[in-house]
Amino acid sequence: MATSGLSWEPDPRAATEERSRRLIENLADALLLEDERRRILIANQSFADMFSPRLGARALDVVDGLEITERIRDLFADPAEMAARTEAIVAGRVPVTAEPLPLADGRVLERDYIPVFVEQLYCGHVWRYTDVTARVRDRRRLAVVSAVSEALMSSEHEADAHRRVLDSLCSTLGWPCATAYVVSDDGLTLEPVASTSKGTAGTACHLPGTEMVDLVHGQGSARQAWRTGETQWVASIEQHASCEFGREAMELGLTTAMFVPVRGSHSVLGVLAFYGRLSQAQESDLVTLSETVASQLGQFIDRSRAETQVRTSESRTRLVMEHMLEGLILVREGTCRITEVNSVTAKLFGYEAIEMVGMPVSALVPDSYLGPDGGLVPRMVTRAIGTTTEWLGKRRNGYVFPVELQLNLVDAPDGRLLAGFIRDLTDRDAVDVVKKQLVSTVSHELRTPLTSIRGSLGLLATGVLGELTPEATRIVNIAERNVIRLVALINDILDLERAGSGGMTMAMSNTLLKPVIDRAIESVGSTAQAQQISVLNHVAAEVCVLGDASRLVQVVVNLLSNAVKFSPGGAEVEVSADVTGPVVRVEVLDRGPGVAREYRDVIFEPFRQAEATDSRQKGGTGLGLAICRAIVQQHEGHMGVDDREGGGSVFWFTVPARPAPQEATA
Amino acid sequence: MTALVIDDDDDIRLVVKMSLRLIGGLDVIEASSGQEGVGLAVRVRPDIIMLDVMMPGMDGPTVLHQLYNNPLTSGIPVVFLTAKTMPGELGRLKDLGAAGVLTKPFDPMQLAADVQALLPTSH
Repeated sequence: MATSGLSWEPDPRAATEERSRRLIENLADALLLEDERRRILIANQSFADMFSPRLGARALDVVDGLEITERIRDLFADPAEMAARTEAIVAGRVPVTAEPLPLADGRVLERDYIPVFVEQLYCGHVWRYTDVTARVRDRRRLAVVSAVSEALMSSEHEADAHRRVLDSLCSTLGWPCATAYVVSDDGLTLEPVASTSKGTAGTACHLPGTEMVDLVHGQGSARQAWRTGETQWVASIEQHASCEFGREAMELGLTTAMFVPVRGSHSVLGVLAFYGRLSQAQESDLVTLSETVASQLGQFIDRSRAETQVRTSESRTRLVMEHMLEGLILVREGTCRITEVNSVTAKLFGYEAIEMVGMPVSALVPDSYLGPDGGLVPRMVTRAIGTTTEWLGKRRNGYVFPVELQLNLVDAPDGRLLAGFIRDLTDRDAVDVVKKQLVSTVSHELRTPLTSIRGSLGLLATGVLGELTPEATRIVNIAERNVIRLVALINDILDLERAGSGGMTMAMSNTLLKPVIDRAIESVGSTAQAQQISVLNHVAAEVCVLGDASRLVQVVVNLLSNAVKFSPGGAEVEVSADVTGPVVRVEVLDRGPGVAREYRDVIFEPFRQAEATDSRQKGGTGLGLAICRAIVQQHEGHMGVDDREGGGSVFWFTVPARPAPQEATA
Repeated sequence: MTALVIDDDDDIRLVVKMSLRLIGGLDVIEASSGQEGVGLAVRVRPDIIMLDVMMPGMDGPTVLHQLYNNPLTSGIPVVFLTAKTMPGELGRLKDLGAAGVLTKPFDPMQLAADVQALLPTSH
């Protein structure tokens, strides 16, 4: 209480009567100076303004303090109490500061009483009045808002939040009972979600039925608040027939009601209904405060519903993760620590899912993947992003097993994550082993009887076992030819299996191409000669490639065999090579019937020849081009077929080019 | 010139024998197991040995090892006859010290010619 500025110590030098009067006149506080008999010495303008409704325009002309007290007594919430207090204070002559004085219109004043003694002789007193309505209201608003915030923070769900908000408002504002409604999911009714009867002591009461009855669209104050989004203040329930539960409220002696819409960011989410005995004078304050709280509640509901939505979506995501057949692992990009795994991953690595969270991902791989700092070599991870790669995984017990990892970079709200899909390759590798064994065993078991048949037919055909008749010779030749074809088929199947499984070892070296072509031409020489087909090698001496010479011979032999097979007698088959940047393109050109456009891809698939009859007519196994392509692919090259100008085909493949050695260019 | 054919398959043994005898002009003795082959080789000391790789009991590589560790047979060229065609497998057999590796099935004419080429010329 700032009273120092008003201390009544006459200063003989400065305090002339006029100056003092002007000082007091211009004070913002309402001052009333009375002498020992309560005759008014000074009443300033602020005092007149504060009580103007009762004092009238000539307030300052009144000379009797008692008269003033009488005139303004009705303004106070409790006039009798006010009069008694004033009398007691004046009689006591003891300073009083910040005495609260609630007014009937809801305002709150504070009053100071300062008795004045001159040389120990009582000669009057000063009343100072301050309107603290705004301060008290702010303080109360702050108290309510923080109580509500706290209530909302500890709420677990919407109903809980509603109940806590009602409790806070009723106990601080004096409503004896209240009900919270929420708009139903279908938007057709207001459903009660919480009720309270926690008004201030002695006022609490229960309004029966409110906690059970849904309010459908129609007339009524609560429904109007819902419809318009505006607070409805019912000053007199008695005069407001459509007020919901008006009759029940009146039976309890409740006279006032207030319906506050709870607004979300998009629509009205519900209504808070309060019933009590509050005066009209409190309307504006209560409405403002309740609307503030309802807005807090609306934000809470919005957030809570959004969170529920996220949680539902999260739990759905988790459900999907858990039911995936593949392992899923999420790793923070910078720290390389695991943030989440599904149960497949946990089982695969022999942990509980919860144990793996926070683990460094380096714990899941063998030491060979780790750098000197004990972490995963970053380059290995970077290279794997956006691709599917094969890795070795390490179980908790140290067991190392093959996995396939598809790694992606994901921008999560809390930073970048590496999302890995993991597939256990143990079974696949086991199948591969079985397949290899099967192919190897079958081919061996087939070769043994074929060795006897091929040898026997060979011996018969040579005539060392005695001369055969011409018919017998023909038949033996047919049998021998078909055995040779069968052996070729077995060899091709083996080759294809090896190429497909990566088991075909390549002895890569810098290889001059021309001698490779010469060797291939030599292999098909007799067949070509029989059909009077000349095979020409146009490859320049200095063309050098990186490749396995014997495998490249195998490819060219295959292409030349086809070229010879399908070219008309007397035609020319040519082989050429062009260096184009980093690759050498090798072409085998024939004058055969060509390959129809629709077959240009399928002929490189196993067992697919351009026409079904080809295999029988031309004696191929249908595997040759598939094997060639597999070999070319292992040379990181491509293979295809184009039309040749003037008729025929151009079968081509590419292999990596190498600079020509000095002796070849010399 | 005598060739010893060691193979557990009777039919193949006969075809090899006839090819070498009728086309290659060699005398041929046979053994149907690795153990019998080693005994025969020590006793007869042939000029060349045709040896199957996969046999029950003593397999081809073990036979080769025993022959090379016996001074009586260590100088005799041994030619593997194998149904395995993996390049790695053929290389491994050659690395064991065989004079040659021929694959099954074979052309009798070619077999006789290959064996002739591998026969020691000093005889």
